[in-house]
This record gives sequence, C-alpha cells and structure tokens, in this order.
Amino acid sequence: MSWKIIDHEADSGLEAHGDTLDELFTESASAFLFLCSGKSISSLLEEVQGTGHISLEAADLEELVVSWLNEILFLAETRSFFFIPSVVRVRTSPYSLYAEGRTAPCGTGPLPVKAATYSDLAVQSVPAPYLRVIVDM
Amino acid sequence: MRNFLTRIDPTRILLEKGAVPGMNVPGLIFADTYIESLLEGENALIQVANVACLPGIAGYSFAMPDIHQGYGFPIGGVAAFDADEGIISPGGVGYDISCGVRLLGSEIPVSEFLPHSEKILASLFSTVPCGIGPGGGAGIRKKDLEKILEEGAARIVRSGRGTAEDLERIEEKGCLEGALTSAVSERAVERGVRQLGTLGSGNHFIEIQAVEEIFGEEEALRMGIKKGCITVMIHCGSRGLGHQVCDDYIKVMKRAMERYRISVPDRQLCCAPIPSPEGRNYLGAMKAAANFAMANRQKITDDVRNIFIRFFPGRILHTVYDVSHNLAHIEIHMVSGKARKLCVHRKGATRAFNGLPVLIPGSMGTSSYVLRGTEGAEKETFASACHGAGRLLSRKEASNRTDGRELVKELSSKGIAVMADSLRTLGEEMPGAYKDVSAVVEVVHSAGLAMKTARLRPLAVMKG
Repeated sequence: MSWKIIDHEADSGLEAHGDTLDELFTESASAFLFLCSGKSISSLLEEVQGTGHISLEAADLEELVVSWLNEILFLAETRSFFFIPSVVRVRTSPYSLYAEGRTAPCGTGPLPVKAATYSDLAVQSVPAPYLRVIVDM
Repeated sequence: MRNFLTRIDPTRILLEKGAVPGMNVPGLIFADTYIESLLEGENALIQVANVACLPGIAGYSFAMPDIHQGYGFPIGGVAAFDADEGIISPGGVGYDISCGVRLLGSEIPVSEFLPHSEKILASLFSTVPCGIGPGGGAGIRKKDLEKILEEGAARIVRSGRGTAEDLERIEEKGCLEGALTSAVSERAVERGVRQLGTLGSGNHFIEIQAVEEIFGEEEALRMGIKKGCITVMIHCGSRGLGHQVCDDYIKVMKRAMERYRISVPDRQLCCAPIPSPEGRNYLGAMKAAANFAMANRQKITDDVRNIFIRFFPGRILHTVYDVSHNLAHIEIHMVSGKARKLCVHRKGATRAFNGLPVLIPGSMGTSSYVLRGTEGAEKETFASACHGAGRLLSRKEASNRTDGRELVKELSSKGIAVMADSLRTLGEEMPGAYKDVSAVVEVVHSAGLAMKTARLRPLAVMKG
C-alpha cells in the first residue's frame, strides 16, 4: 500500500506514492475512497456491481489531482457508487486523465467528505511521484 | 509569529503588520489567555496574517475566539473588502456555503418531553434523511431546484412547509436577493437535487435542548425562549451543491488571478475583484447556494414539527432565528468615520447586528448558547461574532481517544440520548475535540460583540 491518511487540525488528508503518475493517481484514489467509505479497496472490490470510466482535463497537475478525487466524490453523491480504478492513464501535455474501473454501491448515508482541497497541496512527478492532499470533512 | 502578537486588553490581541510579508492591515484576534494558550502551531495565526495581504481589505483581518486552521482563511475568520476595489474569495466562505443554525423554541416543558425523548429521537432519525439516494433525500426536479436557488426558504414555506413568521426570523427573510442560478454549474445542481432536506454528516446535527439558564430576561422573552422548556437546534448547510459551487469557483478564480495581476500567499485564498465577471458570478452562485441551505433547514424544520405535533398536539415549535456562519454579504459599515460598501466574508463566524440573535452550537454533550448582537460588534468587527467552539483536536486524535460506541455510552450516562448515522465518524466529534464553548462565548460577551441571552443543555441529539 503506497498511501496513508494524515492528520490535520480540522479535517483529514492523504499522502500517496507511486513509481509512475498513473500509479500515484491510483493510490490516491484508494486513500480517498478509504476516507469516503471507511473501507479498503479489497473490501470494496467484494461489493463490485458494475464498471465505469472517468475522463478529465485540467490546467495543471495540481488541478488534475483535485479534479480526479472530486470526480470520485461526485460520482458517489450523484450515482451512488464508488469508482474503484483499475487502469489510470495520466497525460501531462495537456494535462488529462482517463481511468477505467469497477463500481461498488455506496449506500444512502451521508459521505463524510466535502471535497479534496488545494490547501497544502503537494504534487510532484519527479524525482519520485508523490502527492499530499488535504480533504475537507 | 508570536513576536508580532501584542495583547491589547483581556480579550483582544493585535497581530502586527509584518508578521508575514505583504500584510495590508493588522490582524485582531479575540482571545483571552485560555484561548491564546490554545493557539499552538501558529497555523491559524499565519492564516490570519495571510488574509491581511488580500487586496482591498478594510480594518483588520479578524479572528474570533473559536479560531482554528482552515483552508486559506482560518475558521473563525472575518475579513471585509471594499466592494469596488476589493476581492471576493470562495475560501473566505468555505465549502459548506451557508452552513448555519436554525433554533426552534417552544413552551413544552422539559419534564413533559423526557418521557418521549427516545421515541422522538427515533422518529427524527427515521424521518430526516442524512444522506442521499433511496432512503436519503427524496429527490426533486431540476426546475424546482432552480426555484429554490432563487427563492430560498420562501419557496418551501409557499409549498405549505412553514409560516410567514418563519421567514421573518430567518436572516434576510430566508432569501438572498441577487442569486444567479445561471452561475451554478450543472454538477452542483445534480448534487443538489438529491439532497434537499438532508442533514449531512460530520458536525451537523439536530439537537433537542433544555433552556437551562437565562441571562437576559427581556431578550429571551422577545425571542420566545423560556427557561425549563425545550428548544430544537438544527445545524446543517448547503450540502453537495454548496461544496460544488466552492470547488467550481476555486478553479475559476485560480485561472482569473493572473489576468487581474493578483498574487496570494496561499492558493486557497484565490480570489477575483468583486465587480469582475468572476466575482459577480461567484457572489451570485454563493447566494443561490445559501438559498438552498436556508431552504434545507426550512424543510428539516417542517419534518421536526411534524414529529413533535404527534407527541404534543397543538404545541408549536416557533422559529427563534436562523443564521449562517459561512457566508459573504455586501454591507454598509463605518470605517474611519466614513460609510463604506464592503463585502464581509465570515468563515466560521456569525453576523451579530445589534439586537439580532447569535446562535452558538456547542460540541456534542456541551451547552449551546443564544446571544444577541451589539452596536459594539457593528462598530468593531463589521457586526461579527464567533460561531461555535472551534476544534482543538484533529479528527484522528479525537478518534484515537474514543470511538463512537464509547461516546454514545458516555453521553447516555449523562442523560443525553444519541443516534448517529455513522459511529465511525461520531468519535471525531467528542466534546474534548473542541474548545470550551463557554469560554469562547465568554470572550465575545466580555469583548462586547454579542451578549449572552440563554444557555441550552443537550437532551437528545441526532447526527449524520
């Protein structure tokens, strides 16, 4: 597992690592889904009911990260499923992302997450892909 | 940072210009020695200083005694900007636009309520949805949502779910004029249609309280708050619709700042000139989201009343007041003897105009307070006061100290019934995770910003 949940005075956050940007974004989704659901990816995969995909564009890498995580949140709130990525392809010129994955129902309770934010945001692709995102809970 | 702090009096600390480079005005923090001792890590103070760097700021970058670290702006932060030359920032309002509090009063004695408390709490829990989807928010049509974005709580009242008296006791009569539905994205609308009338999670709640202490007899009488009777407090906001509006406009403002040659010390302070297209659109979308939040609380109020009427036929739960604590308003205030039109950002801070109620929810298991705004607040803080207790422990620290089940047992032993949608997040809201709300209230009272009127003790609470 190349992610962890980090502490924040008012809310929560996540850090992720990867060998590639594709892996980094996949790991960040795992961390974010944990914050949303309280479940690991392996638990969510036991509840899979369908498939889906996500396509995004952004002005820069930071916006791409925030948009990616907020898209997962948007799908949970509007389609009532958690999107669990299996393939993620990140491009940097221009900045875009395409992901395919499986979907698991997210129930009717309120999600504890309001948004992935730009606060204290850190994203790097070199020397080793890493990101930190603070999440408004 | 501490080197730039100067205590002015028992409730005020000045944060001098120069604490960070580029401050246009000083900071003014409302804090006694107890609150001051809690300002560890200095992150919140840096945020107060950063806000002071923003273009067109008037007066001070204020921090209320419930201050803690936020996104860009601190929670408990107040900043006003010239309406013609200053900026508007989504970070100065927050993701939960118009998160706020509705207080309902009654003449139902606590002694009559207590035998029914568990049944009433269970009815609330099964009736008021916390989330979305089947069993969650009922779902409304897009065109109905658009009407709500334009008309706010008034739309809900007109559909038979409230009274004209409710609207008289809601901030801005339940509708911010000038809402721009065209400035609200499809994504925000899509999130909103399934969430009207839902509570949300985290520190959102419905709490039934006993009026324990009255500090201002006349004011309490005017508000309809009676010692020994119950009140109901509803704390929630604009849900996913508001969160999406904030997220949308953070992107818009980030891209716009270069064009307006604005640089900010923290990207969550991204902003645009108020008269700019971006500024006007955000203001319009924010007002629409606020209207949704007020409509949300009106719908939940109706649900609460429908439950109480079954147990107490003929007894009314009247609206004491409904006020937001995450919002920006265009207001006229005196600055250095001149009347100026300002955009006052209150993020985790409540409007405290002279004579109007200021509602301060406590943390779980602790007292809540009703205060009233003062002339002092109008003169000093652009009519602003605190909004709650302010977090002390991170969510992780709090949940390390207790879990949801233990917390329910602990509160039950104190005579407070709890039902929660998620025990997982309940532990994060333990009382010790927040500052002492009584101490926070004492600071605004002693500073003359808002005067204590009543203290409310929790009896039963429903959390998302």
